[in-house]
Amino acid sequence: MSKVRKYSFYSLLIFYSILTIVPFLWSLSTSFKPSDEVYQSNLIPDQPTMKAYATVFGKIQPNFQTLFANSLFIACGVVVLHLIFAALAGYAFARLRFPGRDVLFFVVLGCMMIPDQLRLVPMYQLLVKMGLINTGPSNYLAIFLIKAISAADVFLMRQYFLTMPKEMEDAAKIDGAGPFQLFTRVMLPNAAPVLATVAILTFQGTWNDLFWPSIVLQSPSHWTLPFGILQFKGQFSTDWPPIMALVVLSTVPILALYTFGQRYIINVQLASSAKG
Amino acid sequence: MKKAPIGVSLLALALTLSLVPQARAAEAVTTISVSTWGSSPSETSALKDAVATFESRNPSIKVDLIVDNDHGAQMAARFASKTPNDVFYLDAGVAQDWAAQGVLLDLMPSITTAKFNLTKFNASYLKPFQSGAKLFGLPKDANPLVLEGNKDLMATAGITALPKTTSQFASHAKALLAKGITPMCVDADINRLGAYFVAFGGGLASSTNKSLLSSATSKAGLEWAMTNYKSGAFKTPAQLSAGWAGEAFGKAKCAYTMEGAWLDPYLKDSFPDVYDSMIKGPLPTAKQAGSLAFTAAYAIGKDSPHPKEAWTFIEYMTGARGMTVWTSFGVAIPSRSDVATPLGYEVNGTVAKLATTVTTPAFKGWGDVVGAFNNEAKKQIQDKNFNVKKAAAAIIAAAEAAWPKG
Amino acid sequence: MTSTSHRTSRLGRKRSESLVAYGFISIPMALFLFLSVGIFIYAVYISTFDWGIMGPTKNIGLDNYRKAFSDPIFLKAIRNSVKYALLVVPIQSAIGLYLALLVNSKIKGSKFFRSAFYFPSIASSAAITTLFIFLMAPDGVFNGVLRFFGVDTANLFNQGAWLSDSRTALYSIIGLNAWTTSGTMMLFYLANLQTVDSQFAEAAVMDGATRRQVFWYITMPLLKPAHLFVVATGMIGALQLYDQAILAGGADGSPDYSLMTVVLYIYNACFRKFEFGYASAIGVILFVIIFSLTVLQKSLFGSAAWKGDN
Repeated sequence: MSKVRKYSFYSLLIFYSILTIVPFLWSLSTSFKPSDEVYQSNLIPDQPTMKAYATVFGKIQPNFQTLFANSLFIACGVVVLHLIFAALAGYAFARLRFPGRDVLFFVVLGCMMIPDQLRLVPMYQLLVKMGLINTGPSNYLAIFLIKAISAADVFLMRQYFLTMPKEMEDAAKIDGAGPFQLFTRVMLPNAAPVLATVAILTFQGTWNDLFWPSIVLQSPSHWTLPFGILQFKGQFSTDWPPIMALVVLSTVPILALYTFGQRYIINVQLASSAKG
Repeated sequence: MKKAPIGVSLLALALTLSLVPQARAAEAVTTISVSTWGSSPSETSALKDAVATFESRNPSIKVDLIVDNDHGAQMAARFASKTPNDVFYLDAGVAQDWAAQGVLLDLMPSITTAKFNLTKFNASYLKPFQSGAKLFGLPKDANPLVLEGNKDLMATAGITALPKTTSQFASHAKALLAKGITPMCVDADINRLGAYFVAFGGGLASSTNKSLLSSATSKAGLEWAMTNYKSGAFKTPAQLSAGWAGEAFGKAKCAYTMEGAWLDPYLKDSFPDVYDSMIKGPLPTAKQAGSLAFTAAYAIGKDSPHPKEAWTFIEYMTGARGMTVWTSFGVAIPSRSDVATPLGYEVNGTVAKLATTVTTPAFKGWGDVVGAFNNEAKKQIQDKNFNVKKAAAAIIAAAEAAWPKG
Repeated sequence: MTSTSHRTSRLGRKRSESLVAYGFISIPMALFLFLSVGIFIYAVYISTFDWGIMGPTKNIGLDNYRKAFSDPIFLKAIRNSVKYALLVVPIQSAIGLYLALLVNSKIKGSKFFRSAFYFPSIASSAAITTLFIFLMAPDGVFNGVLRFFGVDTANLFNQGAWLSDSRTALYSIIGLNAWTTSGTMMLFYLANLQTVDSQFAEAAVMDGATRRQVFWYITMPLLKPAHLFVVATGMIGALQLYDQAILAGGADGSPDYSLMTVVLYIYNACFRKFEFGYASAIGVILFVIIFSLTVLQKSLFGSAAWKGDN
């Protein structure tokens, strides 16, 4: 690479990094600002204060701890469901032959195209009939039912299983492994990267989801973080520091998860149909 | 299994025993849920304080207050699941739509039984909640638009008093613009500009809910407002980087704004300096004084689990005593004639009593008219060189096209 | 594999393999049939009723659909959603691909840049949009930067009011989402790039191909699975634009319905007008749009990746 080329290359990278990072630094900075500094353009607060954090941990109802616990519980539950069902179905569609496979897979692909908003009315009616729209703990079940399975995850998992070499399976078959052992002992361990990808993307999607929680969760003690942010924004319109404190606190877990899991995500190989 | 130490067992026994009488007392207490909206922390804490006085007078009822972010949508979800709150705020603008869905409880039977006196309410505040002989909500308060001014900014342009007439406003605007100050922040919203339709002798809707927008007088009011947008004497909150006019006023980006009593606690919370330099008066008059008043009610759902306790709550909160407590915090002014206007809100109270202060229309489909008007108004204003007459005509045409037929 | 002597055992194996397969997919398929297909049919059923909060009142056939296509606001919502999708998907895919190529080359700090580029994708849309509204305000940071470069923002055609001018609001949201989503798209491309054998490219270079030729004739075709995935998920996501629209434009998608999207329209039909039957009808129409676009795009890209490797 020539020097000019190298410099322009790096300045492009750095410019785009600034575009992606600075807005977040602003929200971090705002969360430490006293109210009268919010509208000033300084990035480092003149008089930094923890007041906003004291507010979100103590004063708001429900407080940050409750919102966080709910978000974590719901996101983890949905991750477990997605992993189990996507692995099972993805494996069957990729590695097993059975009558009706293509038709059923087409149904799965079709499900990917059904917008969540189309499900809004009938799903809600159904949940009401099942008695899951209430202020008790069974209200969580409604969220788990809505989000039990994802066609996109099945698709991703299938594509990954398609790329696995047949030899691996054959070797285990010669050793006399049954289909289920084959799945749990050979396929799953080798699918760690795609499992991690599905887990991280599902966690992120559920953690950030605003649409369903705002419709389904009836009691404030069940609310999740994004819903809490919106509620809080409604109540405290322009009291930016606590809102930004919530934004920061709700982004940190996702950031940590991503930092930890990024090597898995990067290793996911999207299936290439060219091979096989 | 390991035996529990005797001390622990005794402690557990003591705890159990001590809980028993309390549990019995708790049986008699009913918790009702009340869902509301709130525009500022002060407003929410004022409501909490008012509710506390209710709880202390009614020890058998505990109130669980919920502040919704999107009250309308959240109530709709609750109605659909047949789990509405016991009591909820009912906005006048949507009251008829909700009533038509059959989700609201008629309060007339309770009112009759309790001999609750309706004549103390301003009739126009009751109207949005009436349907035939039925009444679906009792107005919790009222809130007319008044003119708020920032003394300091006014002084910069040598202005000492609020403009009393539209022509005075015009000369103030000139002086303020010369100093680089935006005279007035007001959204291009029928719920604000409508006040000028009235001031010019027109109105929004007739008593039979027919449109009054295309009358020459209403048109004159709109054209006056549009002239101000064109000259820069009016600016929308968006043009001033604010979420709403109150925020722009609080940030001292405009000398005047026209909001209701909800502005005061908001300013006190977020912009105490501007609050200290705020003065209030009636909106500038043209042919006559003109203002719009808003109201909201307490209502009960058909499927609310505790209608009896809910009524007890409403009876107190909309009664003279409850309303006195609630309005004493200065978020709104009373909707009853037998409750005094709180200190510091005399202007709001006076404007509310004017014959030319009209309540905003409330009929099924009014929301569509508001949406059509506001969208077209904002579209017209974004073109700096718009033609005032043409723009006003386009806005009125859009609003009338959305007016419910029949 | 086709030798006839093994036919019976192969048949037996086939049958047991089928049984195992049905075992694997039974619960997932049951969930799909119940939560998506069943719900879809139920939605179609509801869409033929005048259905309010308290339930159905009467069957009105296709009236809800007729009503939709005669409502100018709905037509505007469709136009906005389609326009948005057709613009944002290519932009976010192209940026995603470009970023992936950048960080995939052996450079110092590629790990840092990769994380930085993905950063906007991880926060919730509520948080990001709130931030964006602040940055794009008439006296916000964006206009500050423009002024720094000598642009007189107050005299721009929209007076610097990017989100509250109907001529720039939708494009601003396109910018916002291209920015946030391109990080995710970068990830998908990166994943695919790791599987692309560099030998092809190296061989091509040896044959005298230019970098440009290598990119267009070797790398791009090899990235076909990623193209397909990125465009399909991008399109489906884009047609469901909602969070950013309601946060920036309110329930009316102001100004002048420029941010009114199909999903926002559904939301309004449900929660502002309680027309559940009508809302379902719009949902069905949205499905038809998504379905046709996906089929169209599938035929454009070829269907290889949708099939198995049997």
